[in-house]
Amino acid sequence: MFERRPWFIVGDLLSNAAAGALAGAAAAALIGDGWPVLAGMAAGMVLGGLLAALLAPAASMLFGALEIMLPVMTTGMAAGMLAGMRAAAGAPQRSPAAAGAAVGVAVLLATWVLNARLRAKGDTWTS
Amino acid sequence: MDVLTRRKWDRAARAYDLVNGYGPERRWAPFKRRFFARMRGNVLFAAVGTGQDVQFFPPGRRITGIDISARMLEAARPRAAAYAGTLELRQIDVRDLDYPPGAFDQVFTSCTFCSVPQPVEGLRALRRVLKPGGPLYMFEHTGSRCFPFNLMLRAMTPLSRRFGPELDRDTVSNAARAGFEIRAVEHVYLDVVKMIHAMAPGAG
Repeated sequence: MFERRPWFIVGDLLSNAAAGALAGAAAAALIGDGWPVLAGMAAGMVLGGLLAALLAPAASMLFGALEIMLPVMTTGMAAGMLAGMRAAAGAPQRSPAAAGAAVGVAVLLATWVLNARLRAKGDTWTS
Repeated sequence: MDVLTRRKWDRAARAYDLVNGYGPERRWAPFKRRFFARMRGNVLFAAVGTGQDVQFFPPGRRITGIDISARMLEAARPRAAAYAGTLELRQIDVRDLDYPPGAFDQVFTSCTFCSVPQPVEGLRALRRVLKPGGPLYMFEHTGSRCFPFNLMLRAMTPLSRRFGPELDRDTVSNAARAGFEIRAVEHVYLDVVKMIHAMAPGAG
C-alpha cells in the first residue's frame, strides 16, 4: 500500500521539503509583525500555494503527476500559513525554511497514510 | 469533431511526452502493466495520445487506438509500429464513433475522460460500440472526496482545462450514468487516480 521504490520516496520527500522551505522562508520574509494574524495566515497560505504551484510541475516531471502535485500544494499552503501566522504574531522564527521543510515532511507522511487507507478501502480489482 | 478540443490537444502534443513521459509514466507503470494485461479479443483504446501506454500492452493483441488529435497520433505512430501485435491508429472524436454496434470485445481508456467534453455522451458512444456484456476498463484521474484535495482540484480545474485535462471529474458516476454497471474501483493514488472496471449491459 505504501510506495516502496526509492526514487519516488526520495522524490516525494525532496519535493515536499523544498516546497515547505520555500513557502516558509517567503512568508516569513514578506509578512511583517504589524499584520493582523488572520491576514498574515491568509497571505502566507496564498503565497505558499502559489510558490508550490510553480514548483510542482517541475518536480512532477521527475517523480509523478498527482502524487507530487497534491501533497506539494498542501505543503505550500500549510507551511506558508504557519510562517505567516508566526511572522504576523511577532513570534521569533530562527529558521522558517527549516520549519517549512518539517511541515512538508509531516504533510507527506499524512498523505502516505491516507493513501494507504484509501487504497485498502477500494474494491479489489478482480475480474 | 470538436474543433476546440482537437486544437487544444494538438497544442499539448508538443510537450506531452516531456511533461508526462518520465515521472508520471514510471510511477504508474506497475499499475498500468496489470491494467492492460486484461486486453483480449478486438480492443478499442480511447484515447491513445502519443502512445505512451503502448509499452504496457501485452504482445499479440488486436487493438484500435483512437484520438481526437492528429499531432498526438503523429507522435504515437512509431510506438504503434514497434508494437508486437496489431495496433491501428485512427483520428476520431470519441463521441463520433462510427463503428457498428458491438464491434469491440473490450474498451480501454487511460486518462481519457478527464478531457472529453460531455463525458457521459462519450461514454454512451463507447457503450454502443462495445459488445453487450463487454468490459470497459478505465485508468483515470478524478476529483476527490477528501479535504483539502477536493477543494484544490476544483480550484485548479478552470485553469487546467484551458491547457489539458479537468481535475474534478466524477468519472465513476459518469460511467454509471452512461449505462455501465460498475464492477470494481481500485484506488491507485488516494481516491484521485483509479482503475475502474465496468460492464456494458448484457444482451438479455
